[in-house]
Amino acid sequence: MGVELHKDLLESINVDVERHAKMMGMGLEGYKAQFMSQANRPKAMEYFNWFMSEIQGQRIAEINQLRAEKKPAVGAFCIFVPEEIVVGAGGVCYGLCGGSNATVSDAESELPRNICPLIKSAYGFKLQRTCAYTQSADFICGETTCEAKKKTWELLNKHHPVHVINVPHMKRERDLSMWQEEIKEFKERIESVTEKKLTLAEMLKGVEIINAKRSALLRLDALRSQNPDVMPISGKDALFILQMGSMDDVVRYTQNVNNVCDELEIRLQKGISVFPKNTPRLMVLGTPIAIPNWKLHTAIESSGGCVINEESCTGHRYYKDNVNVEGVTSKDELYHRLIERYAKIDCACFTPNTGRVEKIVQMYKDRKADGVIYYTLSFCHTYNVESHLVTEALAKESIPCLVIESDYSPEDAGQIKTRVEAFLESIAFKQKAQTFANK
Amino acid sequence: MGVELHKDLLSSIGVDVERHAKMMGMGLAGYQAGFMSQPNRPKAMAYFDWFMSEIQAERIAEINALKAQKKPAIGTFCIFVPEEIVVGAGGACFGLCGGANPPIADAESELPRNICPLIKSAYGFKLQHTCAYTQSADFIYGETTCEAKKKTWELLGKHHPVHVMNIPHMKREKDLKMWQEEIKEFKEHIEEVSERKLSLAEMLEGVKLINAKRDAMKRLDTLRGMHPDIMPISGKDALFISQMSFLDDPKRFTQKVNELCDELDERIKNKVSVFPENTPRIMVLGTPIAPPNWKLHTAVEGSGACIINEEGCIGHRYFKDNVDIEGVQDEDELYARLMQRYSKIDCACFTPNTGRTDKIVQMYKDRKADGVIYYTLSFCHTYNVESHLVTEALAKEGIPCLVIESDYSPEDAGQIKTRVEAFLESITFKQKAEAFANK
Ligand code: SF4
Ligand code: SF4
Repeated sequence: MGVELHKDLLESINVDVERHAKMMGMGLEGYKAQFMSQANRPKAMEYFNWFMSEIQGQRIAEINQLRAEKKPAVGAFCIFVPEEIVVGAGGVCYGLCGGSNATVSDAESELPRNICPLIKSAYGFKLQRTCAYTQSADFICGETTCEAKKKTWELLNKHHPVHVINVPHMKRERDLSMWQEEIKEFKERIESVTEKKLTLAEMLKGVEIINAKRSALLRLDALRSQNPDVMPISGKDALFILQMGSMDDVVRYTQNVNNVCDELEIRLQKGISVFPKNTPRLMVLGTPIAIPNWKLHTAIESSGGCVINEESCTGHRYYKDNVNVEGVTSKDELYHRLIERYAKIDCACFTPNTGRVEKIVQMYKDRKADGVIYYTLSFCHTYNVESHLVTEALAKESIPCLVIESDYSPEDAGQIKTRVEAFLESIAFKQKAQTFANK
Repeated sequence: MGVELHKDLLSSIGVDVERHAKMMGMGLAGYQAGFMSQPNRPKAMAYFDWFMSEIQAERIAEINALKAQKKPAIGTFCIFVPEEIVVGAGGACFGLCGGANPPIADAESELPRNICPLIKSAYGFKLQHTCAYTQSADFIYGETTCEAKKKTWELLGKHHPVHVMNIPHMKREKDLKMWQEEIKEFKEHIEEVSERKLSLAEMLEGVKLINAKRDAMKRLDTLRGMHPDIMPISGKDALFISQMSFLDDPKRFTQKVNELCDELDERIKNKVSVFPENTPRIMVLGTPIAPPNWKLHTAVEGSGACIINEEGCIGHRYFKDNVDIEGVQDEDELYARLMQRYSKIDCACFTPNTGRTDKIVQMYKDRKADGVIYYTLSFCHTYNVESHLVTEALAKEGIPCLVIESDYSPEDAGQIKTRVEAFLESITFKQKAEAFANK
């Protein structure tokens, strides 16, 4: 495994090498058990299997190679960080969202127990020094989308350099113009790492690369969910691909996602599905599902359902919009275009956020899905409160919906499975009743 | 009781009169049991006792009499709403923060269980139609200081007219500029209710009234907290006065607080204390304590200690700063001065918020207090996360500190009392040991 090979490097960036190796070993085992055993996986998943084995090994070496050339390495927690700029500077922007339970208790020595597990997990990785991405980051780019994060940066700052982007809670003209300044400041922060000015051409190149990545993911989204009878890839595999999207080298990743898509296209032509016909097809709405948090997908797909889409930040919300760079001739114009794109993100941190509800209903209809699961991480107030508005709209459209709030502890896995099973049964019952009615 | 007398009015503004009367009866009984039994209370408390009995009656009649003259009645949840402007327009600006447990179950039919009880309580009052203030409000003025509130406005908007003021999370030049525009818009909303322009002179008059109120409260704070051997008023009574500052007519209230202060002045001269010498004097830090949430004060003062200050929004944070209007010539200048004052509020919603920690240590020293209780309402992420920074600073200064997180359910009252008792014992032990050491 890659981690052993890169021991010296890991040590040099102050990773707790032993503990890290143990955790990676466990993670890899979990991956093997939950992913490799799936029947009839697309061949192109091999790349992602390999990447998983090198996620904290070879990939970290690549990142540190870039850093040696003064290319920036930025850790982020949110899809509001303009990765286009980092990539334009030849650097890497990766997600530090924590999805692991193993670091939560360490974090609780400094953070409250009752905040979102994602934040605690990531914070714990820093305290333990068991995430090589965190250790590689020139700085961590926080934002103000949620208050638990916003306040955590003040604490994290004691352990690692942090830059905070102030994302407004509204989207009026004046909020957006303030936000645009944040993007400009972020670019300046990047320049302080590279120690040179970033040109418009470089930034445009960065946008092009990221646009291509998002397009590939949009393609994958369409392929996995467009045919109600053929599910050419499991939801778990698709989720894993998405999760890797915030870690891998963008160009290589895009290529490999497109390889998967080529294969899925053929599968669709031939009617090759990894699930039996009439498997209930579910959409998952809500908060990010960070690696290695595969709890919900595992519960659904081992109970006879299939996940065809994640509406969340580690999913559709991330790739649904591209930056339009047509005719951009100045940096200010580019910042403006970036804001245009970023302001389309329908995060629950905004008030109001009505667009999200309408989008969800439309997504459901487009995909002819059979039900949705509104999934939130525990104590995520914004998505939790908003769930009332979303489920109300879903009920009006008679869309079956199950609300699940959960953290990373394995304790509620059984309970979640039971609830998912009951939900799937009710959907299957409805389907059958309808077939009778249509006879 | 006043509530019976004003039955017609209450029912005309949509109050569920029967349920309301029952709740008010319970509240009043709770007040009588918890407050009236205290020995040696200042005589001037008689006014506040009376006010309590008319809180949802005569005072509501006053507010509605103003409304009949097109004077605005604005309900708020936060000390960021510029009441100066409402009062300048001749209207009433009152706090709707909920401190009662009974409406919570109703609120949980639309809101998540695991958000702050203050929000749920207030929301429940609206669903139940059992708060005459809420029912009297031309509109509720929400803000974006915390995300549970921010998202709740979207739901509350279905039940009552709501405006939202966007409070930034940072205090840089550009954030304050945006904030100042919010104040101007607030004034325009007030003008919509009064159907006429508000003059600079009127607004200045409003500022003067509110400045005087804050001065009176600061005077009370000094009198209760600055004399280590004489505690001329109980913490519970002082808290109650703070709570009433959000409901009463500001002019009358100021007058009554000053009368009380005159009496306390006398008491200090005559060394009349409501607690024995060497009673541990405790400061309470953190989140708002809305009526009838008297749980913590009851536990502390029922265990042989005295509370000499609340640093919370219902307390010192509310009255510590005044608006400097010297030389103000035009409206924009006034907004800038209001901004200067409002941006001094050291709410945990800001990042960073370092000034608060320094202030707390200074307040402690000024008052020669014996310990602090960091009190947060459950699930208040901002104050909860910030508690780590505050307690760290306190520890560095050797200041004894107890952290309590609680909601409105009576269940943890016993546990809180036990923890408070143990905390007070450790303080007394320290005091005695010190006395020996100094011999
Ligand atoms: S899931 Fe919610 S609480 Fe957690 S980091 Fe994201 S926005 Fe914040
Ligand atoms: S106490 Fe905290 S969570 Fe509750 S309303 Fe205030 S800021 Fe929000």
